[in-house]
Amino acid sequence: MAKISRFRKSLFPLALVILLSSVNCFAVLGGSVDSVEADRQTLKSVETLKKTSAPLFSIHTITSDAVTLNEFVSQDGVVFGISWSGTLHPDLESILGTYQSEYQLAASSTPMTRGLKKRSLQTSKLVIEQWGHPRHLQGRMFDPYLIPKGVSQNEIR
Amino acid sequence: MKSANSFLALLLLFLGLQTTGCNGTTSNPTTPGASPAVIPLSNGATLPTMSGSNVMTLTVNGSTCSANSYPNKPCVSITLCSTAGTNCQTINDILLDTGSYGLRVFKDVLNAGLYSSLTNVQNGSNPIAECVQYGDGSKQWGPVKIGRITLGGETPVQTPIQVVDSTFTGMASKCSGAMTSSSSAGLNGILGMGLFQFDCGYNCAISANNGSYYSCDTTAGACTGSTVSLANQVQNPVALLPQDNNGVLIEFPDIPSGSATSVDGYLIFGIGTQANNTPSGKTKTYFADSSYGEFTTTYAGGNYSSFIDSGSNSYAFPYSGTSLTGCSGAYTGWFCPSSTTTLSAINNSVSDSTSGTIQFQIGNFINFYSSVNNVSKEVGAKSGSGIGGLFDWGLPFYIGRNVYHGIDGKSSSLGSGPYWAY
Repeated sequence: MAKISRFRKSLFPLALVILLSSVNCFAVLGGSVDSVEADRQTLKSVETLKKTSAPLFSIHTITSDAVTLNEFVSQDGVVFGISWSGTLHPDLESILGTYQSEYQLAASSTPMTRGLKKRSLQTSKLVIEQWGHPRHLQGRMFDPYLIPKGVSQNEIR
Repeated sequence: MKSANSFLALLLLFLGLQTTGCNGTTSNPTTPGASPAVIPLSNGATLPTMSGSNVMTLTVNGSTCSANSYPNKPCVSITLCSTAGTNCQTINDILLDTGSYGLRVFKDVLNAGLYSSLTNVQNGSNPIAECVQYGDGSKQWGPVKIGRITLGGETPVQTPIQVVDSTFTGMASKCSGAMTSSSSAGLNGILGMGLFQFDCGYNCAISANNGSYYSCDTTAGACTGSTVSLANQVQNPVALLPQDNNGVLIEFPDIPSGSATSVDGYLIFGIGTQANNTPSGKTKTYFADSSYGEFTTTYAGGNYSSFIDSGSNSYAFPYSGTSLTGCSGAYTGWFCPSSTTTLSAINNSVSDSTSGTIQFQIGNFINFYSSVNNVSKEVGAKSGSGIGGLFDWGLPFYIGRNVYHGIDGKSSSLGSGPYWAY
């Protein structure tokens, strides 16, 4: 927290204005890498974007105040998975893209389990998992069919 | 055995009626907490009798929980009043949650008089509301108000709390789908007594876009992100006690048979501040990091960030083995092995070389769930597919252990928080 505070204080009014207008602009699951680039453009100044290249995919990291998103992009430019970590989960609706109805279907057929601080939703085309505790919430989503050959689900983290 | 169980049920009922208030009862603000009775368990295990102003009764599905609670739910009964000490109400069925911070009570369990006498936390003339989220994606929305909480026989403390109310004006989009009632949530409230004092901390004091706190224009019915000073954030009330404020000790007896109808233990305030909370020489301290309140656990060749959490009802951990089969149907998240399986993992302090091995058992969840028992120390769940997830030492970890929880920034003979010690 300390490492970003000085930066944030000086840009705070600007940050607020930009974020209010762009909070739902993250790339979406199944979307193209262009949407990641759009995020970078829209979220400049307050969001940091870090691109890490692995042999078979790249990870685009977008950090906001409440959550850090890792977007996993295949060599042919498709977002095949998204993981997150933060004080809040991301708005799932804003990153589900065309998987919205798939998610609704899975959510309505999977009852909440009291006392278990994790949730897994799974259909043939979508896996969404959430876990953690207040101050550190994590999760990930991916489409098993979009994961490039040679890449393990365990790498989406 | 059957008649012993019936006798136990009657005894629990009797003691429950004698020693704890029920939802909706009012009491004098100076009433000390229920003096904890030692209740024999069906297997005969007991703890030594604990007494003192810093002791509260903590039961897993016993007298302080509502009937038909979900398995492995630890509950306390607290007294909440206005800041003037009026309109007091004793509320039971409050989940004692060492994985969160501060008190959150559903509006639907509060007497109208108490609700209206709680003081708003405001940004100018706008009330502050909060969206809190949990690991399973569940959420709570509602205004932050200042109340006076009585914990056992301790001096009452004044602190911001959250009144959980999904109908409160202008719910933030981040909170859509928030819990709507105490009955659908399965609890009257949550008392967060984890390793931090403040539920959000510094980030919420400096960043309006923290996602947790909002300033609400009640005329327009709209809320926008807001900074909230540390003092106005929802807080772990233990940290505010005039004494016994450096942490809590939780004690439960063992249940040798693996499961029981209920278990009674103690929630004790302070660490090394009284004879009843002084650690033995065998207690080892495991320091946690000060951002997340986590240490690490080495399990099956992997190292995972991990935490101890009374509000999780299972050991939940990354699992890629084959001997623990998952349950089916509505219980898919839990393990259902054909026979009880023993596992072991190593907990590691983050800031020194302290480490220690924990052996734990995982039994068949459906067999337990369909039995008369409501407490089991053998409940396990997979945290995510593959090796995703944190290692969550849930309620089963507490059975048969004394666990100390040192609050961030406070010191004791065990060290400076945040830490766990056991």
